[in-house]
Amino acid sequence: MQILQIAGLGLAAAVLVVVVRKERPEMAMLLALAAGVIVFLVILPQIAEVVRLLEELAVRAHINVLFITDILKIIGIAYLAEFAGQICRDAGQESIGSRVEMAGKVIILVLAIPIISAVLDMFLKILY
Amino acid sequence: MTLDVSLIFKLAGIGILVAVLTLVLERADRKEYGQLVALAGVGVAFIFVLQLLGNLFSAVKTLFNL
Repeated sequence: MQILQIAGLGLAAAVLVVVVRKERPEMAMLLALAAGVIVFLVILPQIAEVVRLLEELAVRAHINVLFITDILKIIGIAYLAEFAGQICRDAGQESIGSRVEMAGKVIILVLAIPIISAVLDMFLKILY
Repeated sequence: MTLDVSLIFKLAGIGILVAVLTLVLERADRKEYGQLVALAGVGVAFIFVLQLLGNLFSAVKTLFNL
């Protein structure tokens, strides 16, 4: 029952953050960051399982591998940007957090350019 | 991967210890030392967290082929 462990870790971390926050807000921020990282590291093998399933499905359906790797990259970038932005927001730096998220969105858009142009090519081929 | 809670407790311990030490040093009219202790505590905690964050980033990198 991994969810019990994770829930317990979250609750314990939350209590400790509240204890430390009044005297040392910077320590509380580091503590929250560490808790988030640990939870993600624990859940990572399951994500790897899902990713493997996606890749297998793509191979079976004869989908271009380029698209699948691009989509996986986009998911990873979205997760990292969201994570860092959320941490900044927790630390009270609203503006830095939203900048980080905006950078993530821009990078995702850049990564999606080949996919978008492929879709466009297909439409044009169908039209003419 | 097993759940490693020790880092959380380590960080909370550092936080509480630093808070108490700064309070004591401020009472003893050693405010400069109190600030130095707070800075050192934050530095140590930050190094711990940075190692963990490096693990996370490399794991995400390999998982999503970034």
